[in-house]
Amino acid sequence: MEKMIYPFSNSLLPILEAIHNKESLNYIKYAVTPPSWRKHSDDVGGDIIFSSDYDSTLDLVDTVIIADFTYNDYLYKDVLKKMEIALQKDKKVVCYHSLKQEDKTRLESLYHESFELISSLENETNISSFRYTSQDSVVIGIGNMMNGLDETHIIIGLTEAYEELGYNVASISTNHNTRLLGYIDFPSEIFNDSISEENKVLALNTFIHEIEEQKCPDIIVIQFPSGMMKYTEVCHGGFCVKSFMLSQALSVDFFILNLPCLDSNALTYEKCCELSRVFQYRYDFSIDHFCFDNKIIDDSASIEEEDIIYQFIDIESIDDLVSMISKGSHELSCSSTFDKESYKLIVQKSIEKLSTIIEEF
Amino acid sequence: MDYSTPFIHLFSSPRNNYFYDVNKDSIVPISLNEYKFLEGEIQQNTLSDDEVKHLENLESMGYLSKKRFSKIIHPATDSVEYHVLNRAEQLILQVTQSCNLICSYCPYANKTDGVLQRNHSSKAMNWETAKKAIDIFRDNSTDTDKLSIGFYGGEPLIAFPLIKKAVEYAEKLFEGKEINFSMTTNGTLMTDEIIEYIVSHQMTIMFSIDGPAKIHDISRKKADGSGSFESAFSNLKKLIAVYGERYHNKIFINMVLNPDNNIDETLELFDDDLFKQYDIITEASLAEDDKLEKKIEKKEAYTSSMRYQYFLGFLNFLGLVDDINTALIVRRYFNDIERKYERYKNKLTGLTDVGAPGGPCIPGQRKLFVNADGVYYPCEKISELSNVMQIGTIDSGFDFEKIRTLLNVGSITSEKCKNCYALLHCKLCAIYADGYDSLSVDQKLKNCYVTLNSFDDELEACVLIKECRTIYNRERK
Repeated sequence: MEKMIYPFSNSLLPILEAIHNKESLNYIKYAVTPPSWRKHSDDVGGDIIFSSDYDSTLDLVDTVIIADFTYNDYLYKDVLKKMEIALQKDKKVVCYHSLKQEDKTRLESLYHESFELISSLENETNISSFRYTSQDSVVIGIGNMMNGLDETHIIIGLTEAYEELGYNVASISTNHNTRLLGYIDFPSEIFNDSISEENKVLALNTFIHEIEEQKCPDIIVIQFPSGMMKYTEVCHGGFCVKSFMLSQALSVDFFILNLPCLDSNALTYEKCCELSRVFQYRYDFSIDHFCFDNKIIDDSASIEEEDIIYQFIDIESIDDLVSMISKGSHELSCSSTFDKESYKLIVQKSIEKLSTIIEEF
Repeated sequence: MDYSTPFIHLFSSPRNNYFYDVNKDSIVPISLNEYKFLEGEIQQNTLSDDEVKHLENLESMGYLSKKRFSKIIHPATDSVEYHVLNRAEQLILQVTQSCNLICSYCPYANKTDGVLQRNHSSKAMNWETAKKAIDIFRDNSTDTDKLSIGFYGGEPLIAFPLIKKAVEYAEKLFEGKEINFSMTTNGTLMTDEIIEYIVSHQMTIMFSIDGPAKIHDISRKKADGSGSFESAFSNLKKLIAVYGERYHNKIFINMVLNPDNNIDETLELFDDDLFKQYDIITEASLAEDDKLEKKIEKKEAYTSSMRYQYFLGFLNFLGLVDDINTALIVRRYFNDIERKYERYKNKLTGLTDVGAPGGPCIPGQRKLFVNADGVYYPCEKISELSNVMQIGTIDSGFDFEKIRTLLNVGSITSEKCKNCYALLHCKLCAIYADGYDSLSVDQKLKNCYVTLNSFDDELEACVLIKECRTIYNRERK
């Protein structure tokens, strides 16, 4: 059975690559973007075939997977239309994006055999009590310095590296499309609940506890749900409130911070230590490793548009930055977000730090 | 203390004295003595101990710094290609150069014998050019989520078949993205079919209406010399009726004010029942005369009438008098002033070493104007006869060196800009320095008053708001 995924975006690339590496039954051959989105270059994605022609690609597949996407009215309507086109052509459609109730009911009643909705609610842990419980598992935290960065490569890289060493890993991701890899959806809906902030912290803690009970993981790898530093008072990214609440709901044993690429003069060992101290005071854990994303902040555009605006850079530029920083200080642990080999080293570093906690095989 | 040439601007209100600190981008109240000292009128030893301490405290917090830009270079200079090729926001297509009206202040109506601006002509954009422009816009907007395509003329509705084709092509091409279509029109050629089309594609329409019939028809005439108000206004009403509740933010009025006309009579337009029923956003501006040979003179009657409208607007805005409505033509000013007032509460940490005055956008990124021949310009307000403002063509692509030149218009008057207290709020872009073959220093300096007057007004308005909400409020209580 050939499968395609729509709408494809950059954040899906590490997920599809991980699927291909695992030779999973979820193997997805075709990735289709809306026509106005960025075309991918030929040297990424390995065997994945990229296209912006939905109709032609539909003829080549049996199954259409609808990825979760950042909601906007226009894209939602477009995706709904494309699902119906596929269903009318007797294709199977598996939808990972939540639908409005009326659309869900209509599609399920018309196409109940070929339409499947994988709602995040299906993975939801039943939060039955609000009582704080400390974790038994080792907790590896991954956070973005600011909103708009993408840690998907990091969570996938770390999960694979721990699993290669034989650990049982429960990965909790804010990228809903990682459900394609069997990861657990981060329960973002807790933040919208009409309960007190204290109870939201307890609800998050209970969620983690119930995952521990169900899956008995050696290690929990969890993504923090928002940026962890505000850029300015105007571009505050939610004031890091959600990340703070999560930090109070669990005890992080090893933390990786994902940053945009900065000027190498800004990234001295002393400044990184200072940042780590700030995190210790604010979140109760320090930063053990720095990862660099392929984005730089466009300060003038950000101030003008009152939002964090990034520019994309070549992945090779990150490697240059990492080399420069490493030359300056061997004690600073850093790597490129896209360097797959570095995750084995990060895992080793975490084991060294936590060797009294994890039983080595 | 050494306060020689701190980068500040001193000004006063009837109640108090202030300085605007450029490095902090904020307004600081000071005593009269401190004001005179900073002006150089009195010596430091005439200040009281409290005043000396006050100034020392300000200095320790970063105020009264002498720092200026060492070089005028726009921060986006090195990343112009990235912005233009990935973050394009708005495309404007000149679908026709023809118009069915002859407006007295229109720069295209043969006002300079084709010297300062092109004239109306029968030239129209063909589909191949329009399609290519839209395709290029698609390629250059991959990192932009909200996009806009505007149709410009002459009178764009003359080329309605091309507009339809472009809209339908773009809607397919930009599936999944938010795309808005817009047009400025004199409204006289709007048929029922066109109205239905506009509404079904949720287009944004700006109607050009200068006042009630007796005012509008003075300037905006058809080719046979008759007025155009009746057809324009009735079409505006029809369009609103079909749009229904969704009209807001889809229908606007652009009102060109002529200083020869009576402002009070102009405002009679808003006595129509239409404006009682619908809150139509109206933008009013003085007719632009930079592309006209005969300049428009601001008469005293016009100036005092407009000042009175702003005065009434302030009374309403500050809640000082009940039952006063702000005239639609000044409402936008008050919508903006609150936002600017809030802005002065956020203090900067200081100027960077290298920077530029705040006027220019990135040509080709914020807006790309493509004329009927497929030539690129930064926006539709330029003169199409200007060589320096051409930033490329559909066939040859963008000229990034020219784009950088226009972006760095501040560098042609760098010494003046480095010492200008309004530099962070400068409104001057390359249009104000258009020397046709190159950027003109003289032209730019002549237009500096635009920014300085506007910024002085803004400072005074913000201080008035603050005083009314504090000093006057306490006294009223």
